Amino acid sequence: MITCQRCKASLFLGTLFCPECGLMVDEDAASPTVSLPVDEVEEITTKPRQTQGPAMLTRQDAIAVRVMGSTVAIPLRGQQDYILGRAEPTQAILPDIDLNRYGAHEKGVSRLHCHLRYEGDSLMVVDLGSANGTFLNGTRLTPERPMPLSENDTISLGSLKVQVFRKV
Amino acid sequence: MTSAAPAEPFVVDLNHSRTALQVHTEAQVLYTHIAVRPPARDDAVPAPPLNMCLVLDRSTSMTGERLDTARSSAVEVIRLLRPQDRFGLVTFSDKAELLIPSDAHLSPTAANSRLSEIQTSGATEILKGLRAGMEEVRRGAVGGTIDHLILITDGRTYGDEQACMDLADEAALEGIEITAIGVGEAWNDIFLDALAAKTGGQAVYIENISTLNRMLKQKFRELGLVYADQISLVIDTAPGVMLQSSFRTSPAPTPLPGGTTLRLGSLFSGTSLSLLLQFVISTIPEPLASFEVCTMHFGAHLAQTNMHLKSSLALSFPVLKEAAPAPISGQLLTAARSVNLYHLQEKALADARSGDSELGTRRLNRLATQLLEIGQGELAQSVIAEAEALAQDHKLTERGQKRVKYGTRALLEAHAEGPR
Repeated sequence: MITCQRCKASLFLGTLFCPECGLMVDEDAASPTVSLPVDEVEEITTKPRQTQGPAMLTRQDAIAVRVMGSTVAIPLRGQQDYILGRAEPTQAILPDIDLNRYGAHEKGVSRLHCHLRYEGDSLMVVDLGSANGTFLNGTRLTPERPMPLSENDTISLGSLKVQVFRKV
Repeated sequence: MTSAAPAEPFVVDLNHSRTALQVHTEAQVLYTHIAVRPPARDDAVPAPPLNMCLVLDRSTSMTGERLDTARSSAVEVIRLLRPQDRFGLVTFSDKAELLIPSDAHLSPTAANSRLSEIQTSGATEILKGLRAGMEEVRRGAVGGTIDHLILITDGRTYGDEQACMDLADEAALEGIEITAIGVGEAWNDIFLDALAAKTGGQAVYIENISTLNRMLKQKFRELGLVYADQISLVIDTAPGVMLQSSFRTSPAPTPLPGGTTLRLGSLFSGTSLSLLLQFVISTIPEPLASFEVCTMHFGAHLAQTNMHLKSSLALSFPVLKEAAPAPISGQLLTAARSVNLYHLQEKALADARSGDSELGTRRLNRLATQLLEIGQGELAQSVIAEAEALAQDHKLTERGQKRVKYGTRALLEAHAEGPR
């Protein structure tokens, strides 16, 4: 049997999509998501940010994300939602923001790791059942539960960190 | 793996999720996508005569816009009839009446006048309508016709479901296909799905009656393009192999009940008839040059020549110690993803029916996540609304669950090929 990366359901060899959660099954042994040792995954390091307040990011803001350590800003423009992850050639659903160039594989980023999407006016982050988890300012997110984002929030995908900010 | 066998009068494309099976101590899954199409454009061949009966619910709940639209839609279809076509109309509530005999060849004006006589009253007894409609189709089935019954209802039938199913079995044997159209939210989707599927037909959800006209005209045009009908596939699985799921992905995406005898309906000129099969193969302890998964027996009625055809095909694969994953065709992958989402919603609805609101809610949320990932935001919102209803009220809404069910089914239509 193989195990679904997201919901941990036991599946027969050769299953393409998990019947319990719908995730495309990653059976490609050549590039599985790297399982990080616990001390490399950020646990609670800062106090979770308030979910209400003037710093919350909304649809009216010009928003971008930046991988920590990089100077490149990736604007979120023109879409209702964005999937962050790492693209593989055999993948049916590709992430909108491919983090491969930032060492995503080594840092434990799943192919479809997390989702940034607008709910009403607010920008939210949702973990997509990633292997190594998504952390918002150090707090691990419950898979599939959207959390609102505020300016300068740090999202950790495994051990890769990105920051969301307003473009001036 | 793809193979194309250009044997007349069909071209069959087979795609599998594996080029080889693997030696394994546990079960493994194999997906097979089958697409059947006519060999070339065949527009020049005259389409066979259509022998159709519309069976219209006139129970009290159809009063007003529903009945008015059904009347005007029927007249629109009559306008499209060719001289060789037959069109009958039966109305029913707790009794059935033959309003327009199929050999009457009424003008649209005369038909309109006849249709204006319909009065709504009484309850929905589908068996009575089906029986009368079937008799009318049988009367016109003179050989070489496309025999089709369209049932339009907005209600539930009580106590006669099994008799309706038996009648659908008879229809299937006689080559009569049933399309069942459910209007609004009160009709029984499980029943109508099963009824239509027995004949290779489909159940259609119409949330708003205003779409009936367009839907009926589209159905009529499709039926004028039938290349082959009464298409069936009997799958003889080898010992240790189970057919876990079968789904027609095009035209009219629908799950296929009936175990290993699949009624696939009709193939239209210029299109493909496609289905996705999912096999579970038990332990294979050692390498083999060839492992036979199944033999498929294909049957069809060629509409234009009135000939019945049969052919068989064995599906075999080598078994290797290390069977590396092979590239999977986009068509198979798309079909497998959409069919999987359909099954996921079926599970969630079953959870809700059995009272497990927590599991049903979780599954609906997972479904919504997947739908968002593939850009189906509107459908995802319907799913989220049902998840919330289930979490709070421990039940789904009638409208919402039909939207989710037929919405996930329609995901496959986006990838299907329409008639030329």
